[in-house]
Amino acid sequence: MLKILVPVDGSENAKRALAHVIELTQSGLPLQVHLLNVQSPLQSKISLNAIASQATLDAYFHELGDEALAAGLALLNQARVPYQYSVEFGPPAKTIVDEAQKRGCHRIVMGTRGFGLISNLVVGSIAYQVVHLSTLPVTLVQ
Amino acid sequence: MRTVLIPVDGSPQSTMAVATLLRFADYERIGQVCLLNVQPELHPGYRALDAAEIAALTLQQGERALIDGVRLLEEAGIPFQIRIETGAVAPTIARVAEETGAEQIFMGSQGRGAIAAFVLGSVAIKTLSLTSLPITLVR
Repeated sequence: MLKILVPVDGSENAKRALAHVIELTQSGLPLQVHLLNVQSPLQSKISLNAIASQATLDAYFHELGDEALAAGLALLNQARVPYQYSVEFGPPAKTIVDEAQKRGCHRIVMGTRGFGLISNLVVGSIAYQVVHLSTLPVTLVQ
Repeated sequence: MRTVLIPVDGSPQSTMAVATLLRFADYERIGQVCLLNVQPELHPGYRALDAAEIAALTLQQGERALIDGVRLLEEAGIPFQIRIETGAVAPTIARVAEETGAEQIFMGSQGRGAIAAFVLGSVAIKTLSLTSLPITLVR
């Protein structure tokens, strides 16, 4: 069974990456997707803790993660592709690569860039770092 | 027919790109593979060679770069074509992708280039900027 990690942030680019994976199911061969959203609130938490409890913050960031996953989960349900999903916390690229490893994925398929600020870069910094850190093949969908 | 373009330079990484595609071949429903090697464009006068000698040298070096990939594809029984082109690497990859109607590209994340120390090879980055196709990078 082929396991593919698809990190998503709710962007159109991430949706195209997922569509690329769903296409692979047309082979009729078994495939499982792990849909991942990474939240990186670590830096902001330090200041936010002054005004909100840890529990409130955790709930808030989990909510953000669920929002980022929603479109992808809808696509997977519609295409009847078996999946697992999770929201993880940490630096995005490292977390993506670690999760892929931990969950026994065979490859990573992701958008070249998500909701980054600098959209004129060909490859966003997260995709760039994932390619750098990952020993698994990384498919970049534009 | 679904075509996958694999630019190779004979480096272990580019051979890995071929091997990786073969691992996923059944899922990718490949019609054929286009194995491409891009050689620098040499002009008559290079090492005092004439045009015919330059063509022969280009072909020879191209074949050397392609051979490992060819062997893997032959073993796997996947239909493939080979192309040896001259010119700038990334624009040539993008052009051949268009000419062959390739739906995606598999390639090493870095090749033999002078700046192979870069994480993501400059060729891979440039290719991404010149085509809208999905590119699978293999280390």
